[in-house]
Amino acid sequence: MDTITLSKQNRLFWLGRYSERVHTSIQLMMEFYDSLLDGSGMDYQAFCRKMGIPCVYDSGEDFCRRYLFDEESQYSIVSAVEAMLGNGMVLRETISSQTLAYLQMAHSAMEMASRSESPMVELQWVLDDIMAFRGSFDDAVEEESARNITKTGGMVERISLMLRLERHPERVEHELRKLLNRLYKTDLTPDPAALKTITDRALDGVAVDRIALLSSVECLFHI
Amino acid sequence: MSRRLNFFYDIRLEFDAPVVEHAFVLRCVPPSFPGQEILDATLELDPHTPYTRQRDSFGNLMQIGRLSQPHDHFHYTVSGTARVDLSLRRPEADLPVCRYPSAYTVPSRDIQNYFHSLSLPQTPAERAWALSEAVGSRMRYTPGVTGPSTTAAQAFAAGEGVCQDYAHLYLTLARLAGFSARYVNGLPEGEGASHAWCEIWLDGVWTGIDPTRGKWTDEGYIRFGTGRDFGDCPIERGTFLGRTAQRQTVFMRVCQQ
Amino acid sequence: MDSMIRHKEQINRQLARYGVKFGIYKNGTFHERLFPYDPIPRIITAKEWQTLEQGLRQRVNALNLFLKDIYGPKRILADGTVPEDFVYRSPGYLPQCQGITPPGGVYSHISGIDLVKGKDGAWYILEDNLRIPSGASYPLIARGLCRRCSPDTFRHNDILDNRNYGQLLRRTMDSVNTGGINVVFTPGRYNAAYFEHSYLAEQSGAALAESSDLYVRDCALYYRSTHGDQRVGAIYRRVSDEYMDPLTFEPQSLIGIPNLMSAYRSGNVAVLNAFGNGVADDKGIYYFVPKMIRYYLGEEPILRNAPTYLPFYAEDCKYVLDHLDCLVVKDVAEAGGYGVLFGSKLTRQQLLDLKAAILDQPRRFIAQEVIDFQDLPILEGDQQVERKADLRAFVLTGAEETVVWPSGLTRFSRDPDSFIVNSSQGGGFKDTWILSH
Repeated sequence: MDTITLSKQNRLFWLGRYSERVHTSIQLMMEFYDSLLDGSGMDYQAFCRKMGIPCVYDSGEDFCRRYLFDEESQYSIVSAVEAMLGNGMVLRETISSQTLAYLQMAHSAMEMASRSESPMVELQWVLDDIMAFRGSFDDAVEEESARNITKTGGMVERISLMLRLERHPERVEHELRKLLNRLYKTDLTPDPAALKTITDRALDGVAVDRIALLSSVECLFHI
Repeated sequence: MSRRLNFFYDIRLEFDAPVVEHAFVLRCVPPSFPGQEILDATLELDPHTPYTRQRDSFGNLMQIGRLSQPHDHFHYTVSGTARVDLSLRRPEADLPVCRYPSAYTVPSRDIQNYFHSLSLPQTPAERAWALSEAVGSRMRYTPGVTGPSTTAAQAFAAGEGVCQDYAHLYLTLARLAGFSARYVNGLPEGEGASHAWCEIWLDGVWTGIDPTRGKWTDEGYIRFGTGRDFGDCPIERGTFLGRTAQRQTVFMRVCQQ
Repeated sequence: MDSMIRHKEQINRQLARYGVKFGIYKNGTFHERLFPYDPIPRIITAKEWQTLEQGLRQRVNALNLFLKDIYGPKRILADGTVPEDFVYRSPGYLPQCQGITPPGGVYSHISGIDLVKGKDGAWYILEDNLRIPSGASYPLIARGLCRRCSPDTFRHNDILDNRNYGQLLRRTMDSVNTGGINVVFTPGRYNAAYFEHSYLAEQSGAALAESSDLYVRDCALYYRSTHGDQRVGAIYRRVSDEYMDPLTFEPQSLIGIPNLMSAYRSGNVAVLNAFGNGVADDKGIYYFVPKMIRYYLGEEPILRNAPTYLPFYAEDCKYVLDHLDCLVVKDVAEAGGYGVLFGSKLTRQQLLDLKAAILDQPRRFIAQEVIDFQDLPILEGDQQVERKADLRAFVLTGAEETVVWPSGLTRFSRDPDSFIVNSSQGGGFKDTWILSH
């Protein structure tokens, strides 16, 4: 079935965002976890501030645990996994049961991780399943515009996290170009003002304040 | 006796904020049948909207359409001329489904008791008439206490209501008495709002009786639609998207040409 | 078979991987559960299946003819074979459908017929489900996984392949399609059978749609797509009649498609299953199905009903009142009723009350002999135990033919004392093998 409805566009986009969010955040958490072992700790308060989420954590350990696994919190990674699977479930006949199975497996691995004493081992499975999901998705989704919507969602999420957390500023321009490249292959209608800001920054090297750029990326699509 | 009547019916729906995806079904154009001949009828919709005509399973005329664009009002007007002559009514087939309770006409225990307390006369026509009197003696006409979703049982418990409630209670009793009886809505002679009454299958003829006014219907009544109860033949039903309050203004007039 | 048992864990892992779940509401919140799977299959021999297949086809054909008659000329009522009471008082009877002939003349396209096998070896029909019977997806997906986990079993047993359900469904939809795409219409993610809706859409190549994806214009149904709106020719809907069109049925429904009825009435879309089928799978009408088979087909019924009595008839009423303590009594009224009562489990007073209720409203009840049905082995831990089980057979009717899917959903009850094998009651399912020799 190679036709998609407008509501499916929305789900495809968010499937891309959530899968990227889970993937990037877990990698980050693995770094945090590792730094905890040496007692060097981490500035989780700064992290919360940059992400714009309430800092309700008592310690680095508490943060690692709850930011990953607190099902009650809408900001936790486990909630993002839930949302990723939820968007996948309503796209079964577009992405195929085969592809959906990898999201299901990532979801199960996340559950295992939450019960494990060494969650990093299980979290590696989540990353693997997401990578497998991406491969399977590429293979199964025949319609290019649908495929590109999910990839565009992923790019938006990746850049958003880079800008919020001020990680790899040197790669921002490159990622923005990739985003522009993708979005022209979709049927999505970008916000003209946001698109201009991004194009200026990516193609003409116009200096744009980080926060202004972030808001343009977040407002690029009204979905 | 044959009468020519001019009719005019006007409904204005107004929304506080624009609505979209407005789908509607109207049953506001009177059909022709033996006894009621519609000489001309015009329906106007504002905003202007194309619509499709269909007949439902009760033979009612429907006008079906959809306004997808934002609009803050929906206004429809039907006007025309009818020739009504009850002497031209002809025997028609029974509708067995109209002998059974429907959503609005399920008899409550109280209604059943009331029905059994009545001493009904012999002939079917007399019985049909007595049931109308039985409704009138239990109900007080009070606008505003009941609504479109009020059932006969609720109206009976309240002891008051409007024409729709009178009609539903009448149908409930008539069906308990073994009659085939159906709901009718349309326009009575005069000015004001649309009206509801009943038809009862007597000697093969669907015969109109108006329990609200306590009379057999005459050549002053123009029928829009019929059904088991209100739910089968509402004059207008619609759905739309939009969070908004809705106001409705109704005006109708039927007069001798 | 032993191999199937040995691979139980692997199979369960595979089921989890594919998210084979059903939803339940508990304390007002939605949960999804894995549908417990039992590895010991129910086996039906080729000879037995041949009879079942013929009997099911016959039954569903007669039921379709009954529906066509009821929403058309009503011959069967006119000549008194079925008393009109059983039609006009049925909550499933929709007068709004009078006179509408669906595309291809088919009303029940996907029928789920529930059967049990008695200790006497005979199959009995328990009930017909002609509205939106669910459950085909579970054995369908389980078979694929079992073949993967236990290839030897399938190499050494000649088992009819059941993995063509998606194609059968598609063929059924195509045969009544009025021009346009096929869609599976779901109330959404939080429906108990969402897994099945999405899986069947994928398997049959139909688009999965929710109400916001569809709309009616000029008496035709459209699917909103990024390539412009596409005409829908067949809609396999998994939403009950009363919620399907707020302008014809339940006005408060938010999950329906306004004016769908106008498209259906015009013959512009096939609705699977048709509206109003509830009149034919009513508990009261069940009694008359063997009569329908004789009436419409001039054949003797191949499959039996459980022996049933209608207190509506004086003779039956007397029998029921005299033997109440050994019968099952079912309340035909849908909601707020007595449900299903086993006479043997009632106290003296309860029996008296039930007798009074039957005398007061005889039409409201049916009574049946208790069938002593064969239990099936299931695995409880490492133990093999016997449990009650039924079989839901799926019968697909298109414009040209009626086909019985060579499989079915065998559900069992986990509770040793329970006769109820419903998935929402904590039961499980097993595969159903139809042998080819």
